[in-house]
Amino acid sequence: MIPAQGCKQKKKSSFFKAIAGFLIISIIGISITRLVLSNILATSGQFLAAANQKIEILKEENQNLENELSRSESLANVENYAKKAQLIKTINVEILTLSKPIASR
Amino acid sequence: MIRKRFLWIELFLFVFAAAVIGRLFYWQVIKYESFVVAAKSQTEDTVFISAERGKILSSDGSILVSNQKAYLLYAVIPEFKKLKKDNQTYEDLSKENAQKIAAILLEEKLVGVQGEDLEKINRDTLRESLKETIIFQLKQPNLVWVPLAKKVSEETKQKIEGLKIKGIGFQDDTKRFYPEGGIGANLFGFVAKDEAGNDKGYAGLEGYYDDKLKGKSGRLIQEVDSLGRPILIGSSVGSNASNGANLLTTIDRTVQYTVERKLQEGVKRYGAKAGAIIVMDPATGGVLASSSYPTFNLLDSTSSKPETYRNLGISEVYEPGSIFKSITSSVGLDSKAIDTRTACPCTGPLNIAGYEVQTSNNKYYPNSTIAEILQHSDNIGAAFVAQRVGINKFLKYVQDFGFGEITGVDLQGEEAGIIKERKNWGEIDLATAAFGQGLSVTALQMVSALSSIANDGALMKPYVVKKIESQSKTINISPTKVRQVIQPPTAEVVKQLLLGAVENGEAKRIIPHGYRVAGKTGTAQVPIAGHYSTKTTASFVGFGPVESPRFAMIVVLFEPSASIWASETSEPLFFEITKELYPYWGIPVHQ
Repeated sequence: MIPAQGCKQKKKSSFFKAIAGFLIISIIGISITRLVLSNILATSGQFLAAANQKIEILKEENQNLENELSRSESLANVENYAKKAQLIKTINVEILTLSKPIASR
Repeated sequence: MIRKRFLWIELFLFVFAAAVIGRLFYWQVIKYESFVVAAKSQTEDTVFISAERGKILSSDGSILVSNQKAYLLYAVIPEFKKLKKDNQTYEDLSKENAQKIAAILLEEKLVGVQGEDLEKINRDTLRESLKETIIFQLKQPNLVWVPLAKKVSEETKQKIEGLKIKGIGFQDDTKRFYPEGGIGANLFGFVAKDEAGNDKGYAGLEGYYDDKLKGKSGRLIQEVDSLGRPILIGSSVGSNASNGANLLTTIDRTVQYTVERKLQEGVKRYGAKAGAIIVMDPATGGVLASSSYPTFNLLDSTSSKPETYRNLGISEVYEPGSIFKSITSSVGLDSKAIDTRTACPCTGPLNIAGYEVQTSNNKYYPNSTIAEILQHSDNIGAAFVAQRVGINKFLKYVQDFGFGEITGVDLQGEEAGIIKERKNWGEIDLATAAFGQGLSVTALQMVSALSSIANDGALMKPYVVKKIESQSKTINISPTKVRQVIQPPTAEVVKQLLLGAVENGEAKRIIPHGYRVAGKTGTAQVPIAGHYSTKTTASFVGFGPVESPRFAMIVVLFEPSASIWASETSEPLFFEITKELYPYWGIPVHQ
């Protein structure tokens, strides 16, 4: 019985050793990963700054395009365009209403 | 001996250690706060995030007012001084460069100024004024940094940069952008700096809704590296910017454009001192257009005269004259003091409390009904109606129509008009008030009151903004009924009476027919120093088509010189605009 008990204890101790080893390796691995990632991220500020700058440029461009569009479709611009195209203003506009038939058999 | 030496060494080490500990205590405890601040200043960066001012949109969502990039032009004096040549004084250097910059700034000042207004501007004077301002700033004693011009455009910036003047720089800013040019200046108002140097809205919508439009700027404090770049894993605290809310208005940009152009033409054609037009939807109280002339240059409001900032439609109080007979007739009929068959003796001038009341042309129309009183614009007939109503009831109705108090329209600068207190009313006041003299109103009050007749007697609160859209919420503003002033059957009768007043009135030969407009002219003498002068305020207020009113409009011309009469000035102008609005809205004209 005694040798069997000793064998069981030996197995138990090697299991704990394996767990401890795994934990130590994991901790070391995670720490190294964190260190590497921190290092990478810490020096990535320039990308963030560049991205922010790009956002600002795009926002400005968007604003300029929106302004250009609204200026193009402004009534003063449309009127000028019509004048240049020599369009003539209608004098008599007749509005037809649905209450009166415009044609009948 | 050795022991003594050891003692000296121990003492020295003790003193040294004490000094180190003391110094550390000084740095770590006593000077802790200042070192924290110093460290933060090196590792932290504060970024101010400016809030974008809200846009103003027309009823169809088109942009009326937006934002664009602008710059503050400044000079760094020590840098600028380096340009000085050996044989040159600083004054000469300033003059030389100010001349160059002023020429470019002048071009920007003239953008948006057109026609006669452009001809009126003395370019040399304006250039000199700009030059003097720059020289004054460059000569400021004890200053290193001085602003030279505010809100300059990108184009101007590029031109000034092309001059390659050392010490001249630009700081980012924004300014308002108006796609329709100068249209709607008095309606929108303008943005300028307040005492603290921040943008602030003044007059019109910009002034009224400044709190909503300006938004809230934010601030971000973040950790940065030695080159000032943000550290992603570093700490960052702050608040986000909240952009200003956009205002969706009831303004119809086509109507606004038409009205603006026609008013400018009308004021010039009839030689008027000024003019105002308001177009309103009588069913809701929504303002479709509001124009005032003379106006200011939206693109450079600071160079305009302050009196041009006023929207005359809401801030100029004047005696309405005969347009008020539309109110008097409504009061007479609704109070049952008269009916449509009641005949006024109207045989000649009235003598009341020692005063003589006459008609404008000294013609008298005996046995006139209310329809004829309106068609002839008969002062005696109007006084007769008011006398039948009595002071108390007449005053109550006038107040119910909204006179004597602000309408509450969402525009900055509204005036309440002047209606005397009951204790100051005598018989003569009642008689003159009946034909619109002795009391003062605004054009908005007048068109609002007439709108209530078009709207079956229900007075609506005038408003311009129907939706406020911010990042966090949307507020819808619904039409508000103030009160039922007259009963719907009375309103129906008054509509027909006012239609008759237009179609059979003084201007029946010169106005176009078939538009089914109900309205009334008013030529009121202008009181100066307690007496009525020969100058007049000519106005026409009406709505159409009478069967189903789509709009109500008032046209007011202050002191027209081509003719003093409303039937020859403001009434034809009203119909010129109506002729353009009917096809736009698809309203048929009855031939």
